[in-house]
Amino acid sequence: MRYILALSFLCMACDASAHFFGTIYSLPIPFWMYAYGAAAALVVSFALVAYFVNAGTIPQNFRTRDLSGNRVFSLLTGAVVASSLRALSVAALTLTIATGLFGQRGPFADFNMILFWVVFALGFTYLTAVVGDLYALVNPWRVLCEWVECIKPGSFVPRLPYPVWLAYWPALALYLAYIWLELFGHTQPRSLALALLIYSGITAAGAWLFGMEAWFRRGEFFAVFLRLIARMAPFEYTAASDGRRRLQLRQPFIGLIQDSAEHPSLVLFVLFMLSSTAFDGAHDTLPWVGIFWKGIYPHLAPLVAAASTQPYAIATGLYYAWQWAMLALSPFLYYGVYLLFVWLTKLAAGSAIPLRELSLRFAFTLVPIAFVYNITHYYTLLITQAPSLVKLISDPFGYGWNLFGTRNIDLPPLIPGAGFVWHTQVWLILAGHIVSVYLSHLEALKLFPGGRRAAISQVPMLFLMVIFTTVGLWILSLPIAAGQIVQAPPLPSN
Amino acid sequence: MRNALYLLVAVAALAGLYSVFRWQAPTTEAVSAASSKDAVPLPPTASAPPASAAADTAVELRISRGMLVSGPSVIKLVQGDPVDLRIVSDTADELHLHGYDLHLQLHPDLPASLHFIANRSGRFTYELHHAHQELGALEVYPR
Repeated sequence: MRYILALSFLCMACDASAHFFGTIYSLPIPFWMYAYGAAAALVVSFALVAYFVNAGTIPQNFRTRDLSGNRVFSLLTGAVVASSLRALSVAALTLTIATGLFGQRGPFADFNMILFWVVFALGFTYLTAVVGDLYALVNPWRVLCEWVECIKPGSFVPRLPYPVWLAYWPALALYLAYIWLELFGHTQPRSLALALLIYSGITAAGAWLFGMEAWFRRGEFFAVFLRLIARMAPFEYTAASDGRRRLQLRQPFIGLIQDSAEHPSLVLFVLFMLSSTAFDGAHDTLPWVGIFWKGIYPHLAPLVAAASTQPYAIATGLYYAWQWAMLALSPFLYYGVYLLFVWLTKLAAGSAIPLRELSLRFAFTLVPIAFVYNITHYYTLLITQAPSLVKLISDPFGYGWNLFGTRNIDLPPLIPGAGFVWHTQVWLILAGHIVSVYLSHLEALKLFPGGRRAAISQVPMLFLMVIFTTVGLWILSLPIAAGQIVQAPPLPSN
Repeated sequence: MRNALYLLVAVAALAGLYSVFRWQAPTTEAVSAASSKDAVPLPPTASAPPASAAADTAVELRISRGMLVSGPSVIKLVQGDPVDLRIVSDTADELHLHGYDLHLQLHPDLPASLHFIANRSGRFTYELHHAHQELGALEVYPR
């Protein structure tokens, strides 16, 4: 009875957009697929252990092939193309902000939302996984700082050395703010533009204070995020000693074990990649929502009722406060679990390497799992929303323009069938899991010489990854709460 | 050679597991019927069991003051089913079904009906368009 009442409070509070922007049309995956995925992950993981046990030392393929001499590459990274891309990037940022602030409401109002949340946040991220750290070249904020530096040299020299203890905490804090905005901010074109302006201000302040190099290395959220993703790509851009860029071709994913994470805050960043997507998937499902309304709120209800004449408003406020707190705590929960399993790995290997260092060494091996979490949750959004860009691009401000003549082309959203989506989700998650287990084994071979010792040491890591993968699959299978609106039956008169 | 063997065994194991789980999976109707018990219990008016026959699935929804007061909030169907949504609202608004992008004008206390074939699978929310109030969802399961 109370639950029904509570649920109706919830649904009065939630508005039509259960998701940040654009509805997701996929169904929860059926139980048998979830069970299959989990079982398959477990079986494949043990198969990999068996493979490595008998393999001795596997020569790790860090060979890179220098493609810089390649004519196509020279053309692509020549001054003309590079400058054009950078200018385009700044133009896109400016347009996103301008259309949000000065655009008209109406059917063309969603231009900057799609450009930012779909094309950039999803499309560009997936592109980075394939082509490498393009963002290092085209980061609009960095480009703007460099232009200002050209005009007025000395604007962005470090005024304070970047403190070692500050590490990646600014990027992590900004990541948290970004996810909050995505899930709870209910951004409209205008508020998105304002958020981007604020972010630009923060970036400018960071670069002004600590210098461009330091801030864009550790503080600028998108730079840190996309650099992590780019480690999966087979292309690596390095700045050679003569100042020019060199392109190295490498084995995909190997970039994740070339370096170790520098600081626990970066490990938390990686874990937040996992936990934020998991939270996004779980936070509007029945079981999760029930934790608050069935488990917590009944204890608070008498206090709330006594304290105020507007119990509904307070209940809603408490509910959202709980959701936000859970989001902020989630990476730390995952960190605790991660540390536990790294410690078990240390025990299994009988290694003298300190726990902290081991946790830094294995952190990046989780990125493939985090990445496929992201793809499986959001790729359908990219497919369904991107076609509308054809129409919107002709009239980004909604003033009635028709710049490219496409204003009247109404492409229906491309909705892939539920069966197709289910299969791609399960197979992608499985693929990500396999890559992570494999990478983790390679790392173990480096740290714990001897095939058998390395393989045994990986059994705890294998279980950690099976847990993350299974949780990811489980969340994809949960029934969604949003939309289940019930009118509370009339209260019995007290 | 050894690598190829391992790969072959792994693929065979995955394929075998898949067949086992798929074979064990309940049919579409059973899945829909089983998961409908997760929905919040409603007053016993019209409910919508998934029908695999070609007969219309009739769903009656009653909306009062922008909220659903009777009728299933989650309508489960199998892909290809024809469905007839009959809606009565006490205020004027417009029902918008996402995904199918169907609109239905609603006038105060005037029954309106929307007939279509659920040929797209997925989960499609429907809302009161002007009030921006999400009412429920249509879940169309693939055959």
